[in-house]
Amino acid sequence: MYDYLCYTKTIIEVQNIVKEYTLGGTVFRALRGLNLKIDQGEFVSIVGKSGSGKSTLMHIIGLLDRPSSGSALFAGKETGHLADAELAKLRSNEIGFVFQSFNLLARTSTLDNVLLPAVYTTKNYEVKQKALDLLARVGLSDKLKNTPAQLSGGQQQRVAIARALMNDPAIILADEPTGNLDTKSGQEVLKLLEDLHQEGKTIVIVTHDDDVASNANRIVRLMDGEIVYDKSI
Amino acid sequence: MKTYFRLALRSLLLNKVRSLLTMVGIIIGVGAVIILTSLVGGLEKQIKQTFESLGTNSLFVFAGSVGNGDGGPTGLPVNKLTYEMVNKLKIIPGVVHASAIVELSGSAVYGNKELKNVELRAVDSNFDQIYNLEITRGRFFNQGEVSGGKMVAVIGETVRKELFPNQDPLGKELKLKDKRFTIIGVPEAKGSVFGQDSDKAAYIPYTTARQRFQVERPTYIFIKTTDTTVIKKVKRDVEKTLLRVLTADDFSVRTQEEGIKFFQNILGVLASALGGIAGVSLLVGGVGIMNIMFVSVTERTREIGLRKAVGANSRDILTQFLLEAMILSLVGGVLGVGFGILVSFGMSSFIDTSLNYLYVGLSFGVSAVIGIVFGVAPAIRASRLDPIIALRYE
Repeated sequence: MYDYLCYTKTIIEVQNIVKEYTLGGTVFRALRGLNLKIDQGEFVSIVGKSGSGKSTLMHIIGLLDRPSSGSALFAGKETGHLADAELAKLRSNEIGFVFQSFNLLARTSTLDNVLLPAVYTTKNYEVKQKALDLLARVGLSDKLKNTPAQLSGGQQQRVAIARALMNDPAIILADEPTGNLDTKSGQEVLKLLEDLHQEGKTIVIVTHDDDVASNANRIVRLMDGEIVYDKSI
Repeated sequence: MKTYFRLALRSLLLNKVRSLLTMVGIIIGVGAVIILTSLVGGLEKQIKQTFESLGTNSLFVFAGSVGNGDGGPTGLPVNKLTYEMVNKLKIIPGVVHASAIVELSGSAVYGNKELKNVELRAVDSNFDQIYNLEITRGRFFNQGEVSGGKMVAVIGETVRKELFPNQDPLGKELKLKDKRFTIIGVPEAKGSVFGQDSDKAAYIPYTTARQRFQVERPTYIFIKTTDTTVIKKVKRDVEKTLLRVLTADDFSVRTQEEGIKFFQNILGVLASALGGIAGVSLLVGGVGIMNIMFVSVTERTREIGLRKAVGANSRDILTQFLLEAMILSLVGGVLGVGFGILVSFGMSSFIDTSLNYLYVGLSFGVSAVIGIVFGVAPAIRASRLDPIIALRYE
């Protein structure tokens, strides 16, 4: 379905998107007519303070949410009109999420956590071997049977990254990936993302931390729902 | 589907104790339906056997207008049956035998030993043949003893064991309802009929009961015909004869078949009622499942959010949670069937039970449906969770 990904350069494109929430009768505008394009192979940081709209933007890019107006395109295709199930399928096959709080399934082994996306994908591949390879890639081959509670924060986030890579997505979206980690573990995780980028993956990090943001090749700064800075380094 | 099944099973196994406790309601519900209906089934079998042992050429005359097979008894009748009627019934063509049967109860005393609540059956001299009573010691009372209203008694095995444990009871005198009787026979033990010891009985001539215990009315009249072909005709003649002295409301004549049907109808109602009551506990079990599934959905909000983020759609989530509820109730149903069958087999050593496979199937079926019915609401709630909100849930 998305074979033409190989030919198109732009993966993410939002045009003039507005996102409004109604909170207790008053309309809150999280995004105010924002435009952004992310090409294949880019390593982008979306940075901004709390309330700047960066999370809302990430949800829309990640197809977890729809804009109130404007259009969101994935690989050149408009996604606003897609049914929930179609969005779910796109998420499954093309987007890998990494969260601040890891969001690993408790009491579930490292291996099974990495295998989770395979349950819902329509892609065909050797599931178990892929999971083992990915865990080797993030240096956790010796922790296959461990549950999240038996892993350090850094290790848990590496499991989450392995999980995000499971279905070989077109893009990795990392929401404050180092937010719950100590400096050293945070560095390791960022190094891992950088390596993935080197291998050609498209990476988007959402963060409030300028130091973290500086690891990317392009920084997009948000303030009050608008882009105030967008520069490649 | 296999994957969803494995997912559902996995999360149930993660909470083994909780899953088991949730199933208890279903286990008890299904088990209770099976146990209660098998008890009623056992009772029905007993009654049927008792009737059938009398042969298909039997008729019974009961006091009052007893339910006619499609209704229940119409209250307690006033007994207007008399011993004289029995003699009139005896001469109806096709009747081989007619006898008044009186059922009393009282204590049996020998020396310083007393046995309370002995069933006292006052009957005619050929009762042993009609009721297939095999006399193993001594003999049954004869026509002469009946006509003479003699104080003779045949005692059941339980009475013999309790009062004459180490001696021959024949020729000994015992007191039945404070009257002295000479023991002339002991029949073969018959065992328990639905928890009631049918050997805790004594048989005496009906004439004796009438004179000594001032029993004015037979409890019922038992008639045997030459064969089954005349039974309808004899029934009509019996009714005609009795209608000369009684009104239609004063008595009812039942063939063995009608008797069985009558009891079967009562027991059918009883089985449905008991099954229904037990079925309510199945419903309660269902509510238990719903409750725990709601708890589970709330607890696993983040998990649901994550699953949606990595590509699960609403239907995937719905299927997973619905399957969990269904597995709970199905496994509960299977365990309940096992529990019910085990208990009713266990009970069969001291009380008659007869498994009713209709109710076994029915209760299992209901338990399966309950999983779907009570699992739907929590599963829908899970499937509708917004992944963004679910992922933020603390």
